[in-house]
Amino acid sequence: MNADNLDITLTRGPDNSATVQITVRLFGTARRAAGMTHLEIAAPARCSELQLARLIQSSIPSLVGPVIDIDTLRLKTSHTFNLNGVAFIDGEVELRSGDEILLFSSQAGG
Amino acid sequence: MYGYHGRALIVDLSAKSTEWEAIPESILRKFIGGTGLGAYLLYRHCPAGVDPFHPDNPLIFVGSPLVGSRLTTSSKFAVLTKSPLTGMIGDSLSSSFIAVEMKKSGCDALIIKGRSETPTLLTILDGEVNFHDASRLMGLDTFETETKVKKQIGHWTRVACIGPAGERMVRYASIANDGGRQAGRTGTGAVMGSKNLKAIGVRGGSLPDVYDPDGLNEIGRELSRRSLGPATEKYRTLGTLANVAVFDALGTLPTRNFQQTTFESAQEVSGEEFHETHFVKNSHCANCTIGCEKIVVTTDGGTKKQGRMEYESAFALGSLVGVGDPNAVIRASTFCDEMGMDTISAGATIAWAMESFERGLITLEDTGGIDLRFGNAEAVIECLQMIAKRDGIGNLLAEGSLRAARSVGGGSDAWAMQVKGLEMPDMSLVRSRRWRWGWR
Repeated sequence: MNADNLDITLTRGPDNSATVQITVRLFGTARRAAGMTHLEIAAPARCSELQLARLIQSSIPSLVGPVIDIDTLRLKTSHTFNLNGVAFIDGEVELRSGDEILLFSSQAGG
Repeated sequence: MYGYHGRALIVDLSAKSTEWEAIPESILRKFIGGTGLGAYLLYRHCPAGVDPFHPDNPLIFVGSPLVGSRLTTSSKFAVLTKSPLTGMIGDSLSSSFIAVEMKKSGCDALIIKGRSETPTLLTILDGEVNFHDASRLMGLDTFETETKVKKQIGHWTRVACIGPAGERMVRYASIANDGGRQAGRTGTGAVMGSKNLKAIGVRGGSLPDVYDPDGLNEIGRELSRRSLGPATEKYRTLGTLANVAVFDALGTLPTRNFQQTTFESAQEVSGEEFHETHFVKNSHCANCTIGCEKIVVTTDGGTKKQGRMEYESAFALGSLVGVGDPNAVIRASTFCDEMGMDTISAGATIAWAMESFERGLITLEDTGGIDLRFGNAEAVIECLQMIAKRDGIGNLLAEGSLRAARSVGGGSDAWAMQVKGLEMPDMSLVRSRRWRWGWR
């Protein structure tokens, strides 16, 4: 699978659901690879972790490799998504306009 | 017996004598090295009810069966003693080449008892123990001390030592080793200071046999390979400093003595900023392939300082005291390493004092004119200097936040952010259920 095969619908989600405007905030390796601190994207209101990873990599291809797996285009196990600093995303998530997705390392140790 | 020598070396500083104590295999199987074996030995050698600064309180260095094996990240030692902060079991860990040399010296643990009448350098060279006068080392910082000891007894000697804070028994003094690395927590350096023991120099002989050297080497190669995979990605890039910006976004970054959980200047003291503007190189602990430690340097016009930086030091001397200047954080953290002080307890005790100052319980007269408000980076450095010397208000803050709060009164123990006397590290408890349970 590669980025050319992506089905990214910016007006309707894959289940025909509405899309919402969200902010993706990048930390650590993701920020360094992207060269930016955040980006605004349109995402399906009901969105999976896999869809999120593909939407983000379509805007920032440089994340493929360091953060997103080059073969599956899934988020690598070294990284994780968090919604609004409150809940880690595992599987599907309901998104609302204005939500923030945080993308950072999955290793929490200090 | 494999992986162990099956004995501990007991050094009595009062009598200037040594003895060996056998550790039965059944005990070594039950308490597998490090903190576990150290807790057993502390239970065995520490008299009930003893004051932490009494000569009878033992200071115990303990390795593990894997030390010296070259398995990545395995070369650690634990230091155990009755903590002068908590009055309970105190343990502190450090990854260090001295762990390997201690094991080469033929002991699984080094138990130090008594108190020397004069400042002492203890050397264990190829199994031979000697006591040297250390008067000339007194007052030197940890870096200077290590350099002088190596010059005296040999470059390949590994050194554990205290700085001026340990000499003055600052209750959260640390034990430095391997050029500024610290066994930082619970005040083990203060106990070392109470024994008049300035430094320990160790150079070993041979390691104990292992059961299956080829099998161990194979596991070692696989662990080294895995240690460079996704599970350690953060540590190999920004290191633990990456936590600053993430914890801020999660609302778990302790700020202004835990009064807030986000910091408006988090970006300035984040791992991203340190890496972009202050990064010098990665540093590796003994026998570690990961290299999570970041060496950083100041970049402003002030006196140049270079040192190690971890998340715990960055938050304790940054957001916790309201300081958003990365150069000030580097200076404060490096100064703690030089003096031999735990950055977490030092920062947390100053944060308590800052809140007490802003609430009017500590005055300008008390501080000797220091405007001890959150965010005053110069005040943090001044306080650290006074703590290391036990000078002025530093004498109060050298006791740690709980004892200082009890001395000042006015209900200030309510914002002494400690548990049983030990200042809390890491993360706001408001949003972290994990830590809430951990600190009960």
